[in-house]
Amino acid sequence: MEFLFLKLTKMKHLLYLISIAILLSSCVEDYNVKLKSTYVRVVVQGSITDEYKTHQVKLSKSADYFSNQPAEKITDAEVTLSDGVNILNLTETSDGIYETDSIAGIPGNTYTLNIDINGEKYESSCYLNACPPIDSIKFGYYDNIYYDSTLMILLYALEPETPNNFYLWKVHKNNVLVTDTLFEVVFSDDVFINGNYMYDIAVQWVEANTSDTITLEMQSITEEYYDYVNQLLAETVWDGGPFDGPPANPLGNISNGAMGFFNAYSVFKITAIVPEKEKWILLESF
Amino acid sequence: MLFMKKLLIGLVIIFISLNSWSQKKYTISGHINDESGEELIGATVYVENTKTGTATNTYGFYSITLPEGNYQIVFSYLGHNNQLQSLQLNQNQVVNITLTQASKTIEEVTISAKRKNDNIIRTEMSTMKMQAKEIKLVPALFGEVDVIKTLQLMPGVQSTGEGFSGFNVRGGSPDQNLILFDEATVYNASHLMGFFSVFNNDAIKDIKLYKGDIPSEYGGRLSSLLDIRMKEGNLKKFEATGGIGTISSRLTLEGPIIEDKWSVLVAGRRTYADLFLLLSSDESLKQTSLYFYDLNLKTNYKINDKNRIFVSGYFGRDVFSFGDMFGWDWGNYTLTTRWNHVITEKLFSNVSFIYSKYDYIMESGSGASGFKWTSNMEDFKLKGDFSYYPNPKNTIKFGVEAIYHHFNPGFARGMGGSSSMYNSLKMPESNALEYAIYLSNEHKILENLTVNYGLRGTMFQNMGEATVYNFNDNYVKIDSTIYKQWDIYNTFYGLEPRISLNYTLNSRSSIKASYSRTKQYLHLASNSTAGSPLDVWLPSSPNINPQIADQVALGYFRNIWSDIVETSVEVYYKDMDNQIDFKDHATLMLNPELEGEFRIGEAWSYGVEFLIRKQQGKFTGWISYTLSKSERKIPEINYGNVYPSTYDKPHNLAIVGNYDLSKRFVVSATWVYTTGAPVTFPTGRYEYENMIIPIYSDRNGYRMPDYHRLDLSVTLKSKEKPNKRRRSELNVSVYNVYNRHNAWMITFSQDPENPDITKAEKVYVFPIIPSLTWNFFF
Repeated sequence: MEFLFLKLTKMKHLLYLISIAILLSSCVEDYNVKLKSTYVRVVVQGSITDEYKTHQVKLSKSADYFSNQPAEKITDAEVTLSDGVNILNLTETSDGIYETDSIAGIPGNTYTLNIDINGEKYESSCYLNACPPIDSIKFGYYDNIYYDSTLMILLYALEPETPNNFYLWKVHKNNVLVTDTLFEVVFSDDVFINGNYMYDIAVQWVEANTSDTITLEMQSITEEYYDYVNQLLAETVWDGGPFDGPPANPLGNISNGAMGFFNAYSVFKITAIVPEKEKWILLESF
Repeated sequence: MLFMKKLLIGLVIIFISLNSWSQKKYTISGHINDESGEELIGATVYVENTKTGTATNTYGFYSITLPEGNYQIVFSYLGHNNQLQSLQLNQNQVVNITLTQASKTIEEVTISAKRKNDNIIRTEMSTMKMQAKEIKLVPALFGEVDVIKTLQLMPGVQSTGEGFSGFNVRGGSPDQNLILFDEATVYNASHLMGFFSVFNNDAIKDIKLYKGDIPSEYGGRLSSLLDIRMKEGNLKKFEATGGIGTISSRLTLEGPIIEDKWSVLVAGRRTYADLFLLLSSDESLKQTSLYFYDLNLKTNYKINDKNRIFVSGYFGRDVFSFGDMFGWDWGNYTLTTRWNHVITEKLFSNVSFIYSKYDYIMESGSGASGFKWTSNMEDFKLKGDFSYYPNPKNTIKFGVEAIYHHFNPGFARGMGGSSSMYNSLKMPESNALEYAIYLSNEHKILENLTVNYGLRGTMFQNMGEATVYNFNDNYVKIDSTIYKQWDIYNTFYGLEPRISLNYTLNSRSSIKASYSRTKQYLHLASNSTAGSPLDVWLPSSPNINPQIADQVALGYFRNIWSDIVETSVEVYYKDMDNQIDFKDHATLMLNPELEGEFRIGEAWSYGVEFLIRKQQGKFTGWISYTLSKSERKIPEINYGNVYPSTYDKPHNLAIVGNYDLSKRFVVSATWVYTTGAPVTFPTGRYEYENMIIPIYSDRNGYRMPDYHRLDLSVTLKSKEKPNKRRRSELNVSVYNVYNRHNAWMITFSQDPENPDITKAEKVYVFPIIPSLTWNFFF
């Protein structure tokens, strides 16, 4: 229940639920439509974190809506990353993927990404926020056949008093990233929880069982990225049809008409091994 | 305030000049009602000798002043038998008339065929009048007869979407309709997301929709006035009407407490739509509750021939809950108290005090994780309306109105007390005052030229306690100003002239023209096609100017077939300023800086409306066709380029027919066809974090597929026994007879099997739906 609240801080998503509930009798059919073409955009997906590792920037091209092919990669671009003092050149390690050497971003810095594709220049910058620690995680479950093997990951942490903090949670199971697609992440602002001690809040869930190793990854993201993910999901999986506003393109942070986002964030990971079922916490069922 | 003073002086001058004419003239006045005591609105009074006439006002009162003499006067009303009175006029007389219902087998009209051409001689244009019993005949979704769904079949009126109760009039947005229920403003006229309206047809007497040419007595919304009047209650005998239907049941009880003096009406309705959810195979849907109920109350008391008191109220609630997870309910309350007073035989007054409230509550969880969000708005309105009938050539109306608005846009908080882990968020509350003063005259200048001219003066003020945010040119909040309680901090005012004229070509046809200016001070912060109960009304403020519209219309009206069939063609052009749209990705909920999401620009619409209508005889119905365009231009929306508004549906055709096969058997059919609504589709795509993200086209650059549908219904009535009042009827109706899968929503998504492939899908909501309703009456 609590995790649902976090996800539903924008009540718009409630309407999505409602419109589904009401439309129990609604049916879906394939629809044939001819769409116009649009000009090609450059798409950037890149990030820098405070983890010591190589960081990636992916460059690709947009296509017509029904092109139905994997996105075309952009090769031979010049990509540099700067923290205001040092400039790093990224190396293209495979088609369209540009990597840094192993470095760690420093919270408090603003990182700037510069891309040059055949003379066309694109720029983006993002501030790297610090991340508060998580005290511990526990596992909860609902006594409901619907959620039989789904474990809720419960968070115990103190949310800093400073306002305007934004978080995003991902899950790893046995060292493999489970939430690898954007609609599987959970993210939130701190409006309702600012400065409070969070306990028993389910921030993620995973299909897992006793003795699985679960790692909860918490990211401290910027408000811009929070808005971007919100807009992105609103235009895709959360489309509430007539109950939503008109669709619009999410606003990334790249200049010169490029789409996508260059994201800087810090990470706090906490790992726990799933105990025997008796030690799981029974959550209020619905 | 100076212009208001001038208006008052003008008023007094007119009074004096008109009174100085009187020389041995006497007034006939009174009320016209039907057999149960219900006042008839707009019943005509026609003096054969002088070929002049008048009509009853909204309280069934008429007054006509003539020189001393003998007169033949015909009183008539649609669906009722005419009554002819011979009068010797040598003093003021009160003549109250009761009209009896006409038998349906009468095709032709007796006595004066001229009286059927009411629509030809009145200056009124751009209006649609309906009676509750006409609405009952139209086949309905789930068998639920509905005022608003029937109005959506009229020229110039469109539905905002399949099944929705929102409506657009002549290219205006749904919040530009002033919906009055016994003079109380209804802020959210929908139940269940709009699939049903809040109006229980059994409690309704009269409906009038003004699409333009809104009379000076009314204002506050740009595009239309929907004036719904509740029945008063049978003054003669006790009656019960009710029905059990597929989705809801209803019961109305009315009757006299003191015969001919004091009556009462109670009407209630409840749905059990959520019972269908129990049939769902989805576990979570089984625990969902979704129902609404409403209650209408009215009592009216005739103190004496000159004084009447009315009290009417509405109370309705929608409830939606999802197991224990969350609950949500919302609804309207209205209370109207009125005093009709006949001051002199030529001067009629009505003073009303009205309270309306709309609110919603959302709750989720419990204990420390409990959360509650409430929002409401309230109106207190006081108005006085006067009708003055100095002579048959002039009908003067004047009055004043004052409204106090209170807005509480949202208060969200944790419910766990001190152990709650949630803080609270309160949107700033605000207050506003809205005043109006008006004066109008319907003036018969020549035998065949009548002009209705009027002026409405309005004023709007914001009042503290309030917090006003100040924005810079980039819509970013820079600071805020706090006003103390009762502090008036912003004033808007304006003049709204209204003029219409009727040039009668002959007894069968006329040309009408009108111009009106309207202003709107309240705005609905909503950017979705469907209205949702969470939509918030906002007052004009230092950051939001009032909306303004100017509308011109020209029409040709002609009756054919001995005035049994009326036809009309009307063209209109409407120009709207200070129109509201929202920036891309606007946050409209729980956003204290909501005003920063507004983008303001212009809109305009124009079109031509055709109507053929037959309201009497065995076969009744109408054909309505509208060809129109509705566009907007707002900086920052669609790069500042012109784009079609969401209600731009060029073709709108409705054919409605009812036929009495026999005394006990009625069949009805409706066929509608509209162009698909404009919609924004993707034209490109890109990949981000393993998802395919669409790139969207110009705003409203595409269209949904065209919409059309056929509904049929059959009503079987029980045998009418001469001494038994008990009657019942069975109604079988089928919605969407040829099962067309009209697109309700088009979605674009990745194929789950093959993520590289995107496809478009059509969601449709209402396939063929039969329903059964049993109605009873005793």
